[in-house]
Amino acid sequence: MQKSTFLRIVLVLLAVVLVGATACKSSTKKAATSTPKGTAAKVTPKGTSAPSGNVPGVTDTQVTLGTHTSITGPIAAYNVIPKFTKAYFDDLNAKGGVNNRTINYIEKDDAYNPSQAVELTRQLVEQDHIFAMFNALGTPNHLQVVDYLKEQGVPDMFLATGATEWVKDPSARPMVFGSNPNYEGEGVALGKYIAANYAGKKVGVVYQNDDFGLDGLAGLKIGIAGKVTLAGSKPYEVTDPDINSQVDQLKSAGADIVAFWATPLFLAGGIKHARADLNWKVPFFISSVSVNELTATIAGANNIEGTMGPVATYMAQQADKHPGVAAHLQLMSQHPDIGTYAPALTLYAQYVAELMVETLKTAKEPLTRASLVKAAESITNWTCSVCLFPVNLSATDHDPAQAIAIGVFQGGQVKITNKAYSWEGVKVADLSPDTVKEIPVPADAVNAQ
Amino acid sequence: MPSFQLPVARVFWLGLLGAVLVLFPFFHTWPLLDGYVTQFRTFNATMFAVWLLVVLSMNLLTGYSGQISLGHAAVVLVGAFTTAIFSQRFNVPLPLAIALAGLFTGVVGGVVIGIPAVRLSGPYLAIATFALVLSLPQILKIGGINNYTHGALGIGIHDLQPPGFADRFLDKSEWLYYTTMATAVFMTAVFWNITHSRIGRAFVALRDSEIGAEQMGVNVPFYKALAFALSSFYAGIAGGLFFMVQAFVGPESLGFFDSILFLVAIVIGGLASVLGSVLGALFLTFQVEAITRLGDVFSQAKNLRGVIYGGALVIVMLLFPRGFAGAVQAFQSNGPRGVWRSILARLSSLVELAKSYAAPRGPAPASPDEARRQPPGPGGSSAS
Amino acid sequence: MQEFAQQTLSGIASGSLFAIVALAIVLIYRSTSVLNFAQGEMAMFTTFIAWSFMTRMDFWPAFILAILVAAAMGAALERLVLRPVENAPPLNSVIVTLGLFTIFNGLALWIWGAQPKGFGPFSVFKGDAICAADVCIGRLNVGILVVSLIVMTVLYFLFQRTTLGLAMRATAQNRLASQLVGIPVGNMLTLGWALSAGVGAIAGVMVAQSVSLTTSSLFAILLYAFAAAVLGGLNSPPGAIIGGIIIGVSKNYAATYVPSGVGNVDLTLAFVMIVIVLMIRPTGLLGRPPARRV
Repeated sequence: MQKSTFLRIVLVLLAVVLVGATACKSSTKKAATSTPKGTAAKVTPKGTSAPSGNVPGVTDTQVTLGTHTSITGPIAAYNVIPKFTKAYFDDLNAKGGVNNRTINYIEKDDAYNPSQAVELTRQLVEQDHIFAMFNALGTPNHLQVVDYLKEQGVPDMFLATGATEWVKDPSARPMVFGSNPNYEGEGVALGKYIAANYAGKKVGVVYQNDDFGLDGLAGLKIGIAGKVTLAGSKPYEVTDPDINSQVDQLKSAGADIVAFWATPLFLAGGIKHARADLNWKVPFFISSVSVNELTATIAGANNIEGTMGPVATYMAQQADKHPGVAAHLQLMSQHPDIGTYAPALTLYAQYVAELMVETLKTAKEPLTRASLVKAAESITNWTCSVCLFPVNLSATDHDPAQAIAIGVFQGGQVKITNKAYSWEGVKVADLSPDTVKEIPVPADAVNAQ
Repeated sequence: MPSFQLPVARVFWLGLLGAVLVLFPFFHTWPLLDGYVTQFRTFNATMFAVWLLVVLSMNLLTGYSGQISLGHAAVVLVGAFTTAIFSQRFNVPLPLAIALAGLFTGVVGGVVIGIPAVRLSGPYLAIATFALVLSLPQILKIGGINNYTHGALGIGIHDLQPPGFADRFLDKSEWLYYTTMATAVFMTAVFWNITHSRIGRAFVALRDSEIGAEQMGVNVPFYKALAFALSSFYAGIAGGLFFMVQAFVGPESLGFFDSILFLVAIVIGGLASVLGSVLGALFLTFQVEAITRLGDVFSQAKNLRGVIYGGALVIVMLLFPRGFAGAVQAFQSNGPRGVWRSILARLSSLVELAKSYAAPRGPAPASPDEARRQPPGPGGSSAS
Repeated sequence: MQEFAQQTLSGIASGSLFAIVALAIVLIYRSTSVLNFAQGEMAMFTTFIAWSFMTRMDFWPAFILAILVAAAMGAALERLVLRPVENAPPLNSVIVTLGLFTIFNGLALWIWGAQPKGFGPFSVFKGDAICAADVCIGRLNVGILVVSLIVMTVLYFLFQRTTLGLAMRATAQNRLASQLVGIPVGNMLTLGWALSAGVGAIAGVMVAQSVSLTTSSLFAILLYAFAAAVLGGLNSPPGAIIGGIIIGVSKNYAATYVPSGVGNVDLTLAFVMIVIVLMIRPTGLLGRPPARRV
């Protein structure tokens, strides 16, 4: 009995090796056509730049990008972003691609599970031989792989986050670029706006207890600069069912204004609670993360009316006046599977996809990982087709979007006001009410009543 | 039954397995195999070793001792954090830190969970461990504790290099593979011995009937606590290796979803069986890729991941409670027909069970006692 | 003082959500001794069904139809999937319900997508908050509390005052003996699941009006619901309500009065409460000890 069981285990382990070997047969073949043979073994584990002509994921006709993102799982509502960027690249490929190369975009679903993100990322690097990561989503997931990517020398382009952790020190993370306006910067901007309009009042903050919320809270404290006092700051965890208790506490503390660094579901619940359960009619300010139509749908248009928050792109309802938005909606209409519940999210996807294409376009030949990073760092004063403000990057600034306009919810839609702030080129450590400056909003963008 | 003469076949297969395991990291550079094996497979194999320890640990608790834990991911996570804190903050050498993590989770598992668990059984234990796995990320971020765990940002290794003597021959991923696989092979052998000893038999007796075990003279509280301690020890070591291989651990690195996956792994692999654990670890290693590949054939598979896992869990539990290991066994003794026959037998017993309840005064029912003897695991297969 | 009163009231309000989900858990445990980890996901799934109905008809008919669909689903599940494990060790039934957990979650994602749905509040639950001296409670929360109490009362009469209830209780106590005296045990178990799934549908519709409807909206509540059920006693419906309210209120107190340097402790609190109750009084506040079976 014992003997035969033992034998069985040995046999199974052998079978494993064989199955494992054959399982990857097909994909290796695919990879072999696009990468020179032997690249796999020679991707130097410690090196940063591969010699030209032997760059993983680049051929004369194709460049391969990869990402780990949420197609399923608890934050699957964001899956419109990878779906749209994929559609955008496919559309671009049909028109000839960029610099005569098509973009092969491999998006892998980690279901917001960090250990799966690790496996998928390593698969992307070691088996699919991607050239660069693009727009990876999920802070806990990306924390799990960022050092590996650095070690492998894989550029980590335009993460789907605005946490300062990734961009505050480009010398520590030389290959990482952000994409959203960073949360601390938007915090300062909102703080400044609140200070200017509600001087002498008390503001309360509800924030997610991670880098996202802590950045926002830090920024807001800087922005209000003592002109408005802090009635209290209440953290919540993503595992909580709601933020009702936090809202209650701020009401009890006598807050006149409430600012939220919360994701759409929590935020919508909190706003519903304040308006419907507490009859509490104070003004709300929210993070850019939640300034989209989805939040309005969940919270109810009445409850969210008048709530303000940062925006960085034109809005879907401006298609008639703005060709970029019209083109975006046109592409969306060709891909009905993407989901139209949150145009603000797909507009963001449009921006980040264009930014990636612009970087590839700028990159000097021969295209290498080093030349890609250099190209990104050389982007100056470039505005995407749906963006309100230009992008500027440099060797010391890996944070593309550093300006926001104040948006406001009106009739269940996000409208753009004539207030905007910019902290272009300002390091995270130098953010202050003085370095975050008020700037004009493009005249054709303003549509708030 | 220890045998002093090793049969030739056994030596051959063992030797082949050993050779494959030793040479595996280099397959991707060999002329004939490089078309099939990529460098990525080294990482797969390394994670397989880590998952094997996790599955063994869970199987010890659930398969052999019949205790339900939904919090296993939490124990592994504690092991990973303990290793991280010892090695990165107090500069304890990594192997020692991993051993300390195993000891720590073992003691905590035995004393803090195991002793109270003597009073908690079945569903109550499931609830308590469910609560543990959901609240652990929060506990790791509580003020004071977060000085050690770095809160949401977690802890990474930045300076892991193979030691000097190995550095010349191996790169980092190969070094990780050898250390992890060697640990896993050694601990599997130890596991084998434990489960085939007095202790293992006591666990099984305890699982089949606590009262029966008591009457047979098994010290129930002691063995229950021991099951938790041993299982947590394995989980702690696995956690330490997890940290070493992934070079990072954060409060969200492993969670409830992983606990469910572990459960799926032991159930479809086969409860109370080392072979089943190996199969379960294989499942954990390749599940993401398998779903992706299924997605190439059947495009909806990606969106139906939960349904596929849940369906596998339910179907295997109902139709084939001994998992794939049981199928392998049936196949070995009776060929394909053996497998088919055992499925049919199980099906007809299910039908009988349903009938016996549906008719109020029908034939003699399958008594609860009889039904309780139906395996959560194979009972007397590999454990005998 | 205002803060204390408001936190208490809001705690009762969120406790009402925990209570109604706990009620469904208790109901199934009491009648079939299966601990249903899929309870939250089943409730979420049937709430999506209710949502689909509501795009075609008014709230009340859709609500009632969804409850009926849920009950039918519960009955079918018992017959097809749970029957074989009801007499097996708890391990088997827990594994099967966890399988159902991921099945329902995956199915809902597949059918209705990842997009959160705006959901209510509907008709009577809508309107301004009810306030007294700056302490408020939402109309919806009062509604949820009332609904929980109605459900509990109906269940009480069903179990204590009808022959059917007597048969169900007998089945739960001792299956073999019940069978010998001629109770259709199988039907009773099926009925238990049907009832529980129906109560789950009510819970789901109520909860979703408060937290909006997504595939994960019931999961966040499940732990607190389990804590409530354990605290009140896993086989006591009134216990579930009381447990839910205690958990809701103490969660709010913890969020308010634990110093901010410590951070959030609400989940930890639920965990600690579960462990303490199980250590000191495993039957919970109102539960009765189950007979120990050999």
